[in-house]
Amino acid sequence: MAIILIRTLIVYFALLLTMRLLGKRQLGEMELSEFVVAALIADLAAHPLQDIGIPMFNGLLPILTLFCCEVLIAGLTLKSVRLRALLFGRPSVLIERGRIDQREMRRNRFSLDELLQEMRAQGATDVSKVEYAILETDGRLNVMLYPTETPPSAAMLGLSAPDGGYPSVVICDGRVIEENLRRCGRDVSWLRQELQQRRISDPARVFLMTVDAAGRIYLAGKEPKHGA
Amino acid sequence: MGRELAAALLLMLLVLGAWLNVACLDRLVGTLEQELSVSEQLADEGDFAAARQALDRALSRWTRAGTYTEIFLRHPEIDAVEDSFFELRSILTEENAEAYPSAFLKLRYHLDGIDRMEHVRPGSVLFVIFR
Repeated sequence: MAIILIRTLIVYFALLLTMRLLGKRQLGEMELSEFVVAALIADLAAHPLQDIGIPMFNGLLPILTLFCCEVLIAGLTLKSVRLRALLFGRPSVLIERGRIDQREMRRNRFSLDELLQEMRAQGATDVSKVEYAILETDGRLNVMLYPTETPPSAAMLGLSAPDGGYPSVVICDGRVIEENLRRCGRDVSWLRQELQQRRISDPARVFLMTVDAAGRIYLAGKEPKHGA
Repeated sequence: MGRELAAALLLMLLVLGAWLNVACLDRLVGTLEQELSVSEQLADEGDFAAARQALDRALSRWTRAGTYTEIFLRHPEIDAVEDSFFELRSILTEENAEAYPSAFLKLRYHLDGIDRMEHVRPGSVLFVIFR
């Protein structure tokens, strides 16, 4: 029992480290090789957990090997367009200027039901309003409407919109993030002053506080715990 | 580019490690085979006590390689080799002239099996795939 426990911990942290080193792409939309690696790693890692007769090394070695292969493939495909196209394919234009390319749909084994379903998921219900629909290499369908069907931007209407910039989190669950404070050109004394104005004596009582470049503040205090 | 170079280097190290593992296993199994041959020859000559001592030396060598075998070999394979060792030892202790040839054969078969499985051959690769 102790052996299984220890092996599980080892494999867990080995997987965590491997996926961390492989990067964010493994967690988001995956390309083909990334999907293969993710599926294989999970299955291979489980074997030494189920059978203590299998050496631990037999579980870790495939993980290391797959990690190396994935990093090498990712690096090579970054450098070579041809290799990228060979391994991951190319995006397919299923709708071009409102016209459905049925040959491309057959080639990608993409049915009309799936096309309409993906369009609905992106808020497009009328095919005649779609200028482009592109099936990406990771399987996502991106839908682009005709400019006359998209909401106008402030620039199109000749309006100027205030730009507050990206709000930075300065307090997260009671903890002050000084790095973000410095990034917005503020400091802890400014923070305390702002909190005092809102009758908050301690940053630990703040659940979330954000500040944007224009100085706009969002603040949410912590709710009292049940029974308190 | 650094990460890719590190990955390539790690992969080469793993390949080198695999090759070293095969070499190490070849050496261990080769040494054990030699000592088993000595033991069998002594048994053929009727000197079962000396044959058992030679077998004990082989068993001791196998036991000393325990750290390596427990890390790199599957436990059922280790168990099979050790069972064969003790079975043969028991036969030599009883001075059973009829049973020892097959017992030597069985032990050699298990040792050869471990060695063969680690060598890269179509049989060892495909056997794993189709099993």
